[in-house]
Amino acid sequence: MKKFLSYLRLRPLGLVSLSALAVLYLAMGLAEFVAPYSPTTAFKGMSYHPPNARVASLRPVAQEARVLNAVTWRYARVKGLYHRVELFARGEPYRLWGLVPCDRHLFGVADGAYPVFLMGADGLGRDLFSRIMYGSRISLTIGFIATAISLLIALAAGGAAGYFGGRVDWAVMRVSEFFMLIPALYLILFLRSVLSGAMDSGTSYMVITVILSLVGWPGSARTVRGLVHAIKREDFVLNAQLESVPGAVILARHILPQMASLLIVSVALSVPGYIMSETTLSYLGLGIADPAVSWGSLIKRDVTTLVNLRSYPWLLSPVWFLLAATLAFNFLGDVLRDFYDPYHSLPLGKWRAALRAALGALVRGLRSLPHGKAEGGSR
Amino acid sequence: MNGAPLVEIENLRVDFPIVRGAERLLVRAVRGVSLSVARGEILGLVGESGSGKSVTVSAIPGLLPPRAVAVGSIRFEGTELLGRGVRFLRAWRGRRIGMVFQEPGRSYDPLQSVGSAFLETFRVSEPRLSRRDSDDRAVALLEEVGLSSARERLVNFPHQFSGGQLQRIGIALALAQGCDLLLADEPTTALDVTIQAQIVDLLRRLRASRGIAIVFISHNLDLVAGIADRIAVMYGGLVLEEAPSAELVSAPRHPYAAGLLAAAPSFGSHWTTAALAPIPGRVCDPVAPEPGCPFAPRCSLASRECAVAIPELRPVAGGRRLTRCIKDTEYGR
Amino acid sequence: MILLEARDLAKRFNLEAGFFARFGKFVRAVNGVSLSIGEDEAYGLVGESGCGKSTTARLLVRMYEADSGAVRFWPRGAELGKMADDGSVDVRALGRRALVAYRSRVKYVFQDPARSLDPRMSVADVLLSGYRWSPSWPGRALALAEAAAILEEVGLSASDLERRPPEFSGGQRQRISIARALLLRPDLLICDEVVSALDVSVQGQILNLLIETRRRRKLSILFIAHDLKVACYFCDRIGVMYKGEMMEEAPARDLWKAALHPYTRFLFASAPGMDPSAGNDRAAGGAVTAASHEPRTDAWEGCAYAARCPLADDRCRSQRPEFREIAPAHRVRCHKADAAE
Repeated sequence: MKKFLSYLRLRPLGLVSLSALAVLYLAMGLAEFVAPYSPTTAFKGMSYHPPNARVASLRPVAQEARVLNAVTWRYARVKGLYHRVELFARGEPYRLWGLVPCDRHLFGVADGAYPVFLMGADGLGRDLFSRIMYGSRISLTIGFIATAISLLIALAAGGAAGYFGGRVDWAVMRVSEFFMLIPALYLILFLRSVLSGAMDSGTSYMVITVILSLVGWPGSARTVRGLVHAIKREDFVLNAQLESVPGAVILARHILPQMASLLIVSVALSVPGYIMSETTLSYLGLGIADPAVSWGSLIKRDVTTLVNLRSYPWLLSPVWFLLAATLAFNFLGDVLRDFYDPYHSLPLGKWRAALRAALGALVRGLRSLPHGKAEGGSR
Repeated sequence: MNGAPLVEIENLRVDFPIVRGAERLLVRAVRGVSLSVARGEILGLVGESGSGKSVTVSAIPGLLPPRAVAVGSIRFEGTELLGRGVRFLRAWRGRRIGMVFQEPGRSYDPLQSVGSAFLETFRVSEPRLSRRDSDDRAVALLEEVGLSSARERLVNFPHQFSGGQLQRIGIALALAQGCDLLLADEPTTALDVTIQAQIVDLLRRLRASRGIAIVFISHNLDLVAGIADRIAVMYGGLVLEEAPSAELVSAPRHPYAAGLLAAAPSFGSHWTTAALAPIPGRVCDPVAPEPGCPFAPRCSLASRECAVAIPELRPVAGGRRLTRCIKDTEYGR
Repeated sequence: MILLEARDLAKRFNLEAGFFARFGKFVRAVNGVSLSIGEDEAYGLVGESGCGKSTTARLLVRMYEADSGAVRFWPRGAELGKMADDGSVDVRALGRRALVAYRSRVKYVFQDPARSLDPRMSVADVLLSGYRWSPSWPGRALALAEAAAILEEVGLSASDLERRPPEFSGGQRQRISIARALLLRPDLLICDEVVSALDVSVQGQILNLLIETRRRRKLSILFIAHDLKVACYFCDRIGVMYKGEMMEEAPARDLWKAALHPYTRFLFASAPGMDPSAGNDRAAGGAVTAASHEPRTDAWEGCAYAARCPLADDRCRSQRPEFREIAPAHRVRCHKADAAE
């Protein structure tokens, strides 16, 4: 771990990504604390309230706004009418992780007189930032859980297929192909229609996770199988077999650790895929339903018409979070992959080299101008 | 062989950065190499891994890694090539300077037939060449390099040839646009010994018939001695000894060259009667070069002065030899 | 005293895989190879790529199962199962436990230490991971002490136990690989091109190490090499293979000038640094055609070398020569060599 952190110093993009993810997951863990309001707290008469956090005389404040037009919900900011925003303010009481009763939030308006909408409010006057924080709980974890389940299945199936070969291989591959043929969307639609009355948000979360991972494992299984096939022929595995190490031990101690790095990388790269899948499902109305929130359901609810977007651009905020998480995972995955090659020796940053080459060419070009004729002729 | 050198490398230094583990390091691949090759001459470049021989030769047609920094001078028939851009070097690459690499299987597009490879090569200098003319010329070249049934094999793909045949095709492609200098970077290392001998024969024949100059890189001193007119022995990014090949092999002057010859067994010696004298220690790491003579840590003759400064390359006994050693020792073989 | 004997070993591989495999073509990687290795003897197996030398060695440790032929081993002191009257065991018939014991007596060292040492394990784990599963495992503490001793013996130090293979140079990694093989005190070490990937200045160090070790432990070695000079220097006897068959077998020291088989003479003549006066003839190689590189498939009657041999006649092409002893300890598979004597 330490080595990886010191390696990150050489890969600034990886460092930024890791930090961003750390922040996101920390915020997710402490969502009740970080968010000033609960996801269902609706402020009457404040539908589509624009973001109102400002800095006035070097202090963070929340500015009041008045409704100009109750049909289009346009607001006008009231100059000078500020409410102080303070850290660790008292706010709505809540139970941290459902256990610890608390009433302090990361930030909030001092006297509670006017809400602070860091990222505006949605159609029902609910603070979008709080909803995003609570929504991250589902969006950020569903990726991991689905990946974990599908990875376990893939390791077992692919490992067996790759190591034992023959009929086991054939059987596992046919089963995996069967699963690959199932279109996830229709499966969910079907399940939804069958179970629609009985499902609450918790169950639907589970169902979606399981479906996503069942549909995703064949791809990883094929990769695992290919890797095991390849690693099986490596000299150090042959040597272990000659040393009469039992097969299970070879798989566990020699083959899988070789793949552990690739698996870590593939996890890092597939989590965003699952996040996006959940987002898509929720956007289509097949995923998380009210009152539970996920980033996908937020996008679905609020980003429904272009008119909405033009008038209330802050409604796109969940998208930026989504983008940040996805990109961070991708860049981190790249860096992890480069880090794990035991014999690697990386040439230095391509961009810097390209830039240097370009500059060098420019300089040479400039240098040759005043001389007129090329040097070669003078020899 | 006439007097003016075909290619002259003067005081070449090449560095490039790498990342090893979690560190950023600078590889000092070449640290001041001067060599020259005359027309029709075969120069052998011998060295172990990390000696800088491949980088030196790759610098001639400008095939260094993009982050490499090269300083010095490389003149081909008087024209400076070092540091020039790709467009400038195109007049030389492939047309005057050809290159053959170690792994023949890897140098080809596996989806391109041999005939197409030749067509593509010819069209670099003659864009309007017809397929039929290209095929005729390709067949002539392939027969020259000893590939049988050349006409029928133009439609074959790289995987349908053996390693030795691929290397012959590589040589033919290098000669395709006319070639004055052929750079061969370990061309036979990946081949069986019988095929190796045939490729070496082929190169010798080509030198006699076409008058090309060849730079032959290898780690096998005996192999190089069989083909080269002159040999330069490299270690730690520097040329340690340069001499006519017969003289180098029979009476080396530098302890490293002598060590290389003594470290490998020769026919007729057996472990029961003669002990091998390998060179102790590890091959030097180009990332952290020694302050003085690069061979000093492993040299049995080394004294304190050897580690102080890099010795100069000085002429020895008769002028046709150069050695970079402050101890003037004569070794017999 | 003989240690290991192979009689008429044969192994063929399927060129085609998949559903139609049974109708496919086969390549005869090993086609009737017989050799014997004595105690405290270094036997060299040389030949060009595809000749079957590695496959033969792997058959001896049952990394692949031979199609036919016999492998007999004379265990020194240990009980390895049902012994025949001459004290040998049939290696191909060994049960699982006996095979484990056999594989601790006959050890295989691979060519590329970068690939044969698990790069993620420490050197201690590399050395001990196999030992752990052998019946003679003395417990971790004693085993570590033995590992440290072995490292010192091969020229490294005990402090290297905690480091990982990528931190070492190629020569040092090969020493670790050899140390791992020596840990269980084998009788026979099979070295598959162990010096081929090393620099010239380091090759000699490993060869000297092997000679030292051999002297000290009275070890036998099966040395596979493609470099003739190294093989002739290091080995006591050499077997020359071509297309899965043993073509010549003779004492190593003078083979370079006393070779009888045309292929052997061609090999030596092609070797760099060969003295032309030794009498080896490059012309004995004949023309190298495309056919010379194709592996042997089933339908082949005569001498494997007949297609390339300039001395070949109809008898050579139709009748496979016997592997016969022409001179003391010198066996050749060639009709022409027969006739010459």
